[in-house]
Amino acid sequence: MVNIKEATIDDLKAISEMNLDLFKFETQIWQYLFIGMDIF
Amino acid sequence: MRHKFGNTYSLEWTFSENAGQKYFRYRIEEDENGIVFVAFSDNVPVGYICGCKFRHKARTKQNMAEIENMFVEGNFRNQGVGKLLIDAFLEKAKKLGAERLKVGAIFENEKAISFYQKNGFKKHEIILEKDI
Repeated sequence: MVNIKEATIDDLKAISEMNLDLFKFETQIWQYLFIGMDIF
Repeated sequence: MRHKFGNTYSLEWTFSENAGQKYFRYRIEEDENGIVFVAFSDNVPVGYICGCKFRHKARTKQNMAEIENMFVEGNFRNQGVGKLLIDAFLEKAKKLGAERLKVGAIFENEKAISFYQKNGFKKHEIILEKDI
């Protein structure tokens, strides 16, 4: 069950960490794709 | 480094805790038109959406709100969490007086564009850039 809550300053750290995850995740996807293209 | 956000996107603001947290702190705490929601599963944050209401009087007839960035953790994708976040954002934007909602995505990020289109957004503006 997922609940949506308006953010407070207490959520700042969690949001910032998820924002880092966002960029890391997308970057890793691209690295994976490029590695795959090199192999095949 | 090339990635889904295009090779011109600066990662410094988000990889720098100071810059990223400064932006989110402003939207949450100081900006009266800031709109920020977090999705929780069993009290664990699994997604967020962040943006604001704004008005460029010279460009738009309507009060606008913009989703500046949003994220859902990988294990919680395709379960409607993104839609819940957008719905919450939309309701708050309306309360702030917004009449139209916009979101931008890098041209190559087809997955994000498809997600926004499934949530009612239509292609409206193309921004062209070049190196000089």
